Amino acid sequence: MEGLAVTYSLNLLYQCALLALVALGLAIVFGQLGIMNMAHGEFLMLGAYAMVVVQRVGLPLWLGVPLAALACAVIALVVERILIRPLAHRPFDTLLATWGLGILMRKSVEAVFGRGYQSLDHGWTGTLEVVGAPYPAYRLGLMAAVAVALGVLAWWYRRSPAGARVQAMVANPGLAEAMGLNTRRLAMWAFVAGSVCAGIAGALLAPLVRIEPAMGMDWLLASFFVLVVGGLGTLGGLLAGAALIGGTQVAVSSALDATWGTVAVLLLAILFLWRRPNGLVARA
Amino acid sequence: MHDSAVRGALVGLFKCQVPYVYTPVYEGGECAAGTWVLGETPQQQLELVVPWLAKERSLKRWYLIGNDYNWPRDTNAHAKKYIAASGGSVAGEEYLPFTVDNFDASLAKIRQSQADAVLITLVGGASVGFSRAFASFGLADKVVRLGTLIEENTVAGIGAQNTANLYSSAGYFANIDTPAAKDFAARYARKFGAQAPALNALAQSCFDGLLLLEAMAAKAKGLQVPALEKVAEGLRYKGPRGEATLQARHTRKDIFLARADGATLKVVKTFPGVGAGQTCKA
Repeated sequence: MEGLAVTYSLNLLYQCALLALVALGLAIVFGQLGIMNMAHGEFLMLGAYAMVVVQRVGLPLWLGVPLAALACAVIALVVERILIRPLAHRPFDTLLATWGLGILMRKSVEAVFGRGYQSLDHGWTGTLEVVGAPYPAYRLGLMAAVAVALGVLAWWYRRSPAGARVQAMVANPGLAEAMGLNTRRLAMWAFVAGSVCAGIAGALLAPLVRIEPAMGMDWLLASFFVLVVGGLGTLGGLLAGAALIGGTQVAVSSALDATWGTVAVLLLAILFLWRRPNGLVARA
Repeated sequence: MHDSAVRGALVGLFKCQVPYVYTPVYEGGECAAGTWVLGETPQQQLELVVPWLAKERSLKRWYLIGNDYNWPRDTNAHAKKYIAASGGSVAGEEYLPFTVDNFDASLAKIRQSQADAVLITLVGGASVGFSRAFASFGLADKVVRLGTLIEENTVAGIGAQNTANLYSSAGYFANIDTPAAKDFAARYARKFGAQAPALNALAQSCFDGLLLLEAMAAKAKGLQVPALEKVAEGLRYKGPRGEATLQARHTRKDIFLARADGATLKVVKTFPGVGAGQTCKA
């Protein structure tokens, strides 16, 4: 029984880390730039396929992570230039355009790899005993990595000059530009950073999840719910959203079943959009 | 190929004017005139397989998990009878929405239930995600998995590392070791190349559907539904799966139990001439 409590607790932590990891890219692009990137899930999918490519070529699997980052950076740069920038300040058009972009990316991957499931064969399949409960070692490593990465990011965002510039741009773009900041350039790099985050998340998740061209959709929705509940623009909001969505899902799924877990998450998202549209942690 | 909801609509649309052969695995119960069903029913997939596997692997406690719709529920309704008859018990039963891709709560329940076998009626991506997570928690070595829709493509997605003690029951597998099946697979590879999608029971059933229609049409000397109806009962035809006999609009045929070996499914037991367990009245 104690082992079960440990397993449930670890599941809860894992789910929160997973959601934070997946939603981070969208938090940057949507939270900082106000761009509802509907292709977020597809960047994640590309990251997973980067791992598949590395495996097919026969290189060490971890190389898939830098490859995912590189591929997503290149694509994001192009997309920013020809899609995002011309549609600046037209949120609905941007939403539709990135939706189309997502379909394009999905179908392109489908054309190259087919619609079937891909799988990774890797050596990270062991379990570790955590207080008497066996838990997948890869997941534990992933949780630690997410915690470290978010910590570093929070520190960077608050302390570094670049972080300060981004904050200035988000708070008041006009004033930031008047002060001599190149906001267009900043926005470009923020978009690239968000897309790269999604790609890396996809690569890291690839050993754990089903890999297929349409896998991005679930992750887009999950990320969106996290941001709706947590609130836009802060890491605290991202964590709060991940904790509440993940916590609700795991708790309800464990107590009742997965159907009710999904129902509870949907109800929660609706409730927040209705009663608290700024989320748990509103931007200062 | 399509699901049972579409079949229901098509039966109403065709109204016996057009012969209709429905080929995929399904839950049973279709008896409409002018309609013939090739797919394996739960009875065919489990009635003999469950007791055989229970004896072979000493399975007592079964956990049933599927997606939340009628096929898994109907399959499990039959499975429970066969499990009870084999001296086993049901340790848990759970149905998940199609969109669920986190199976942690279910896996914790499976571990807690101390099940020694899991009957999987999850479909497609859910089945892949479940089995990957199942193995990652170290359950694959201890708990036997049996699925009634785990075909070659699903196994490829689950991955060679995650398929220990994974069984699948169906009327066709790509590597059935009979001359007819081997010949079919060889011709498929020749025609579509080595990169062609993997053969599996669902895809191959379409081919069998045409074979059945051809056999019926040859005997009835035409494609009129009344003529087909006259010759259908008891009609035999041969295909890559072996010989099948039409019986109450369904087929009596061989059922194979395969065990995953890496990322491939290898037939470990053949159950000859298994009836569909359907009683359509004329």
